[in-house]
Amino acid sequence: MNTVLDSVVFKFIYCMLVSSDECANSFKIIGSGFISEKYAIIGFLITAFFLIFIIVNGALVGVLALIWGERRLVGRFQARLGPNRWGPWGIFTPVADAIKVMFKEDISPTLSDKFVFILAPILMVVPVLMIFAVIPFGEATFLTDLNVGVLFVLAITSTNTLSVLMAGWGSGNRYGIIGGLRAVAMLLSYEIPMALAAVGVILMAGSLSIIQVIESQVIPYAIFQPLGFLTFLIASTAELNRSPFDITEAESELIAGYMTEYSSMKFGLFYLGEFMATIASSAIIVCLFLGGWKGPEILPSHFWFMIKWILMICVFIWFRATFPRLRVDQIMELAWKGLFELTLINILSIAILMLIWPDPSITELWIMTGIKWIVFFVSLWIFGKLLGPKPLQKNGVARKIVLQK
Amino acid sequence: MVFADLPTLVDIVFWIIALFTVCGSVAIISVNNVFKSAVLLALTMVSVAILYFLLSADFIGVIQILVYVGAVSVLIAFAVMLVKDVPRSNSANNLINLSIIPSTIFLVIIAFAIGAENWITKTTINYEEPLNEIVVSNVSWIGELLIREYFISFQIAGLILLAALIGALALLRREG
Repeated sequence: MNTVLDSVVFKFIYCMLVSSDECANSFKIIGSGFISEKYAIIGFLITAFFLIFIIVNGALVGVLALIWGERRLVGRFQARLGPNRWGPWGIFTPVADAIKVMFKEDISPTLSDKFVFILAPILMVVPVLMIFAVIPFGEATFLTDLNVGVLFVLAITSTNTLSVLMAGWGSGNRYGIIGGLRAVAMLLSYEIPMALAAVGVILMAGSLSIIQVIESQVIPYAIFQPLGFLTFLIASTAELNRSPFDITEAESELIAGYMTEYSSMKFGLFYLGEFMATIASSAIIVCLFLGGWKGPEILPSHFWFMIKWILMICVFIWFRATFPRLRVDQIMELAWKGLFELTLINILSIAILMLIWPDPSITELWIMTGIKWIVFFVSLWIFGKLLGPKPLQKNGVARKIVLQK
Repeated sequence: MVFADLPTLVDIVFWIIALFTVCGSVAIISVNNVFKSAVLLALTMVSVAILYFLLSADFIGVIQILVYVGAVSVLIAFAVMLVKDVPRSNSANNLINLSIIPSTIFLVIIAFAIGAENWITKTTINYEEPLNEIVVSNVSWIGELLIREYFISFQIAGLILLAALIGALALLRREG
């Protein structure tokens, strides 16, 4: 198992602080010797703190960049200019936004439950930051490689359901409660197809560690198992509460859903948590389905990861700009009647193919990919027939809407 | 890079988390608001999961978060909202004197169970002996046990869950 001690960045910073034989031998850096080897634990703690500091602040800067990019891109999608006043191309707009949010008055309603009300936004942000701990940002650049990494990500993302429910209940507002209850129903249902789509990847990789999943991808799993990729993408869009699945905060129905009563930095934390979750889950999709830091050796591995990451974020922005919001019952129907079965078909077909070819060569892998694409189109066609819009009646009269008594 | 001091660091983390777990558990039963108890239950579950991580049982720790924090606590909080007067619904009932008997019996059983086990501690552990390979990679080990040794009980557990699911659907089905 790889640990943080194998990471290149960690070794570099650690060896700058502590002089040890191992640095000189294996890494060709003679430590500066600020700290003697006897107190190496202090060097370890400082290095770990420094790495966490970089990751947390990198995530925050990433959120600012995403807010700017999303507003600009959505503007272009809707044939507008988008924010372009402050700084070149408006790049300082999110900074102004952040300052504005911080200086707003912090209101907490009389009917709210203070303990739950204050805890909810914190519980929204902290788990998302924890996801960044298991993401490998490039070859040998990661904080930790858990041997249950994929499960860890699924578990951590599932905790945001509780925070949404707490926010909805704690603010003592009807819109808030409706948003919270909708969120619980939706998030719990979409966790199942998400986990099952990840099972397809785990089956092929034979490991739960994210780094081993990346290393096992000769063909990126997005090409190898399109059904799993599609279901995972849709399910993670729903888990992120993003449009077209944003019924929890549907502004035309519920004002802002569970965050109606939140203001100032508490609202800011929700905003931050949601955007940070978008970044984190794009990175997870890149790791599981797009081959992580793998790519032709023209560019270093970190660049490949960044390119795929930004592309994935753009896909989410594209989703938001183009698809109309689904109705509540349609969302539940999609999860339980569509995605759930599709993921089961995906797992079954992978299991059968792995029984036929236990140790596939490159050509056999491509044959498997072809079979997977046939399964993809056939199952999508069947489920489109079953779940899609019902055709008009033969005589040209639209179906009557029968009101239930 | 081997750190001789790392065990003390783990000790510190353990005592903080243990304190948090105990305080959280006491708070669950002493808070008046049921919804707050549900939230505190979730937080206590997280700290129990961290205790599993400290014992390097990664898989059980992650499953603890996935099942108990992500699903069970949320469903409990969901159900709690159906209670009539949430802020004052967790008050103690009339059986407080009677409850001494079962809690004493439980305490005695737990004490015997802890005393009977031959625990591996810092003084008795043999550092020269290599760790069992099966125990280290515990995910595949658990999977193997479920498929081979405990196959029938695993299937029966699944069947019971399926029966519960169908039963719930049958209860909810509208007549006619």
